[in-house]
Amino acid sequence: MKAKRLFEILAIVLIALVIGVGSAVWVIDSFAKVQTIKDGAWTTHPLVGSVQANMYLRATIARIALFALSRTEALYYNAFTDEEGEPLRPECDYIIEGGDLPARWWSITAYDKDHFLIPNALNRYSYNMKNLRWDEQGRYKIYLSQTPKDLNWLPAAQQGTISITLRAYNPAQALAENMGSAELPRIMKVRCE
Amino acid sequence: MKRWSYRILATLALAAAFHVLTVMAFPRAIMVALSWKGKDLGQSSNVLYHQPRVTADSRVVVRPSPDLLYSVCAYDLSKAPLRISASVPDTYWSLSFFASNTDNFFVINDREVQANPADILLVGPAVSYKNPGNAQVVTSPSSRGVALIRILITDENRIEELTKIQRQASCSPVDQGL
Repeated sequence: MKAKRLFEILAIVLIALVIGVGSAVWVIDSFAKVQTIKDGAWTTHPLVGSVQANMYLRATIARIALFALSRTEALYYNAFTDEEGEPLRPECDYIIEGGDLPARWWSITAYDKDHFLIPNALNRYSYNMKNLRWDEQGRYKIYLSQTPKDLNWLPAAQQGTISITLRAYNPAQALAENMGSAELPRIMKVRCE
Repeated sequence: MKRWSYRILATLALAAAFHVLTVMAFPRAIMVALSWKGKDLGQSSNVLYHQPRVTADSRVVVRPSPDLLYSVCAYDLSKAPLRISASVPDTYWSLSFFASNTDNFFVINDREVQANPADILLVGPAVSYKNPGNAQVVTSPSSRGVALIRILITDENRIEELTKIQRQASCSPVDQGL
């Protein structure tokens, strides 16, 4: 009888452990994609890096943006999808099209499914406001693709999924106070193989 | 029937507790895992390590910026405060501190530093200290954490020069003799 009782308690603890830890990991992974500010394909949260972050945001930042700075110093916008809400896939070509941002310096970086830089022969992982090729209207287009392009080519991963981070260091005060006010670049799918 | 209801309720209550504990412990667990990785690489606390430029082979910290040079110091203030000294370049530079739960509780950049080299004394929570000079004093909410210096690479031709500046930074415990 005692053995049966012990087995019941162990079973309850084990099932609870699987549900509790599993749901925590799932929420931490999912929270990154449903943060409070959404602009086109981009998501972010005003309390990234802040001491006021709640436990879910803090865990998410530890998972995908460890050592992120608070918003007075830097803003981080992440994109896991294109403008249509479809996940960024390596077999597709994308154009990231935008203009200047009110910040001292900004960059756009692509990552693989593990949140690390995408290996490529050119060691080209990002573009920033200084090394982009701009057009005469003060706009730019970055080509995210597995196939080399002549201008602003950001090599895509060979497999898995892709995500993009837009960093803006020392943002203008108006942008830091209203992170949804910037005209963020659009991520448009061109074609898929 | 009643007995099964109790079992289900107990399972759900325990699952909720495990859920909250996991989420709360996750950031600290990541910091502990990072310190283990550092120890595997022969790195110690209270020493500033200058990282080479980030590439696709850099797989310690997720989502690094390839446009920055990083220097990292995992600190332990339980025995003594830490003094951080760093030359500040004419490009974006920042020194930031992260508590053991990953909160960014302090950051200062090249436009805000009071002197060059920057001179910061990081002290533990609720401890008395002596400032050995005119260092700016910052109090960490936890005894352990991470100090991180970022230097922006504005031009590929400046990497050698910026790397030299990066390597002039240091962090070291301050003997208090109290």
